[in-house]
Amino acid sequence: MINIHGLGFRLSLFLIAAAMLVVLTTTEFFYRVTYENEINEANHDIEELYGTVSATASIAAFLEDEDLAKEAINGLVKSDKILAASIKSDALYYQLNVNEAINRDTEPRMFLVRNPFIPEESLAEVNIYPNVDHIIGQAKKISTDNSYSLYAEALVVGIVALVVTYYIIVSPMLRVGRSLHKITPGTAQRIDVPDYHSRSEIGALVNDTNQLLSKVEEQFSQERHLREEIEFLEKRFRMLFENAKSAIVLMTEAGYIELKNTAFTDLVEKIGLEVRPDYGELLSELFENPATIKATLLESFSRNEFATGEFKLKSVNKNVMWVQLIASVLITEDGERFYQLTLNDISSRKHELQMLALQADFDSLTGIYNRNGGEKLISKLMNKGHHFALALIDLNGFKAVNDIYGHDAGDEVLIFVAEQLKDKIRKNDMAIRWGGDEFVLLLQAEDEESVKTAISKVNDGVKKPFYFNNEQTPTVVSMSVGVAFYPSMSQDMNSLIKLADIAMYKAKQNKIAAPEDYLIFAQPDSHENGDKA
Amino acid sequence: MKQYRHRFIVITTLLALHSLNCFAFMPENGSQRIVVVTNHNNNVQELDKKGLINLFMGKYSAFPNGQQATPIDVELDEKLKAQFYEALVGLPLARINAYWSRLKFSGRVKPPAIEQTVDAVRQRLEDDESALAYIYESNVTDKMKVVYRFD
Repeated sequence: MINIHGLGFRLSLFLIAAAMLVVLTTTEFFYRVTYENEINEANHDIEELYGTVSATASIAAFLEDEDLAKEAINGLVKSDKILAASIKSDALYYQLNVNEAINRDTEPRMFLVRNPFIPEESLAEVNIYPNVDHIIGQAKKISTDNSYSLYAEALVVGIVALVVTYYIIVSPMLRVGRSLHKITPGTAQRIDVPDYHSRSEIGALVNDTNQLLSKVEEQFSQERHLREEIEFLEKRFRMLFENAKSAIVLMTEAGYIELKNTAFTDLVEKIGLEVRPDYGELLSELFENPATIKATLLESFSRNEFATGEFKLKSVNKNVMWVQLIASVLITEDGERFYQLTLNDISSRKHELQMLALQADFDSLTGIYNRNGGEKLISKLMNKGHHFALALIDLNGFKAVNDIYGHDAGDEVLIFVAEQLKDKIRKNDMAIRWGGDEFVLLLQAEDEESVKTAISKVNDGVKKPFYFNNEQTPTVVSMSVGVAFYPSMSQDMNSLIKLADIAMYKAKQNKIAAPEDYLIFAQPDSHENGDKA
Repeated sequence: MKQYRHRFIVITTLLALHSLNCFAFMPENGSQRIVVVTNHNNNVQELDKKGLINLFMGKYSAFPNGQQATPIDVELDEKLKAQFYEALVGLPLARINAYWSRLKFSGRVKPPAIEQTVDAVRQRLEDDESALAYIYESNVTDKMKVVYRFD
């Protein structure tokens, strides 16, 4: 109910205390002053009282008349202020109450009674005993009354001051405080200036507060506007980030992922890894070769460049994934270092490229290596230092098939031959369609015998009769083979092929006369001879 | 200071005027000096001022020698009466009358006897041995005895 820390309560306390202090100090002072005043007044009154009877006393003393003396003394004692009185001359004595006064130890006041006709002559003396009790009582009563009236006055002044300050200061302030309490900052609400306070300090306070509220409102609306803009932008950025097809990751130096988008999660799931907040420094654990990744990226960063490259991801399932990685260093205003990594899934492109490469190296009709692929194989074997035999095969009778049965039949023959070659050679041997009806076999053999064995197996397969379009007469294709050894005969591919070609040409001579001699080994000399020839 | 000096001058001037007036009065009433007289047969030879006051203001009714005294006031010669009391107690007649009015009820104190005229006073003085009266010095006869003279 009453707030003991409130302005009103404190003010009342102070006012009451101040009033009490004033009253305490002043009443004490006024009491003493009034008391002394009253005592003096009483003494003065006694003199005046004597003045009223002095003529009578004087005549009584002159005439030595007891009746007159009585009249004077009785007149004096009638007053409340006088307890007793006596008159004494040579011929006259009269007193009233003097014994009682002496009992009470009252000091008399003495007045000389003069001859009414000869003022120089004193005839008697009058002793007046003041009624000290009465005088003091009276003085006390008046002083106390004065004190009480002072208390009452102080009380009234205090109450009036309290009421006035309450209505002029406390109440408006309380009202202002209450309305300030209800106000929500940033709205158009304002405090009303209390009545009659438009020019007072309270009014100034209210006006200042309202100005402050206006500023706050302005600032609030600016901030709200700004926040809306930021939210709008943030939404857009989030959309951009979340819907990006590229996996984007923001990570700390230690590898903790601060931000990642859906594409990243999808990517991780696609290679069969769990979604984790950490994949090692620079996501290295995601890659097939973590050490290379780290080294490559850090090397770029050390040159203050962003790093980019195509890397193969580690795969738990059989999904082979290639990504283009773009990594850059971000340093915040606080000096913190982050990495931004963008991973673009390039697996399909990689696959297409591989397919393209495959097409370039293989014969589309037969599915075995073509000349291009064959040459690559030969050079690869040569580079690796393998020893092998190169057998150049040319078909006999193929042209006739082509002419008689058409190209489709020719193609069928070629496919058949290629299959025979593939089937009959050993696992480490290679079959190549060198062009037209020419084939090359690369055999792991260093001596003629093993070559002969391998080729004869092939020849058996190729010689099998062939029936086109349900024809009764079988078609038989034979082959002539020239073989050259690497590296014993030549270390150069073209020379090697040339040697084999010459040998094959020799064998071709025998196709009718001695079909059993379909296989001829090249002679390094003859090569030179052949060259010369 | 200047003011005080001024006042002093005024006062001295007034005093001087007053004394001049006295002197002017004295020659006119040069023969009008008041004396207090008794019957020439009275034993009292002389009285002092206090004795006169005691007799005329009613304290005593006898001369110091115990012989009865009858003080006499003149009723009609106000001037003489006033001059006498002024000289005796320094009070105007009104005060003297007030004094006697106050004492009239007590009955114990008697005011002086009254004669109407100066001639009646003279007659009373010659007839009554206890009589004591004030008269102008010029009116003193052989049958009277002057007991007090005012300076």
